[in-house]
Amino acid sequence: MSIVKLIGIAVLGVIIVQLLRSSKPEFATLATIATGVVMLIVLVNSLSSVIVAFQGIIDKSGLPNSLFTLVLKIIGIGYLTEYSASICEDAGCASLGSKIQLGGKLVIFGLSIGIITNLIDVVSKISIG
Amino acid sequence: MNISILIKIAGIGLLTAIVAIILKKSDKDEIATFATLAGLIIVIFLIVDMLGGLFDTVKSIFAL
Repeated sequence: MSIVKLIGIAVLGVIIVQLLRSSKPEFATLATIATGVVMLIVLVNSLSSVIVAFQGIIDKSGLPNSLFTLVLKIIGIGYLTEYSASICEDAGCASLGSKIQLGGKLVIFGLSIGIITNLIDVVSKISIG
Repeated sequence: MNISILIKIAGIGLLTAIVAIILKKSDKDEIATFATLAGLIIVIFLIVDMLGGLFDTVKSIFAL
């Protein structure tokens, strides 16, 4: 995961956005989105090897696999929500960004209900056993 | 998915700006707006395609 590549893309993106902002402001927002996409794809690809390693650890630890995929899903949702919320703030409509964050929180809360029930099952098994 | 797309977008943006200025100078304002709109639509298509690629990658990796 070379941070230098990431910084290079970000700096290039900032230059392009400034270039476009003076002549055509609407292109600037599109350029920020494009830079964000390129950077995220570089990040996500480097993240996939870490996730495979985690998969191995989880299998060894004997935890139910559904738990790990649930945690992964929540990380993914947080990832995308933060990305789109910051784009909205860049484009000048911070209210839309906060709406997206609210939506992300609700979706994550909905998903985490599964983890909570799982936790309660495990705890009740231990206490009875 | 590399940096060439960024430079392509910058190129289209600048080109549209120049074309619009030229058209405005030769007082064809409505064609200038059409040119800007055309440039915008091309860039939007590019971006939507990139976003689709990003969401597919994230979906496949995070099992969403």
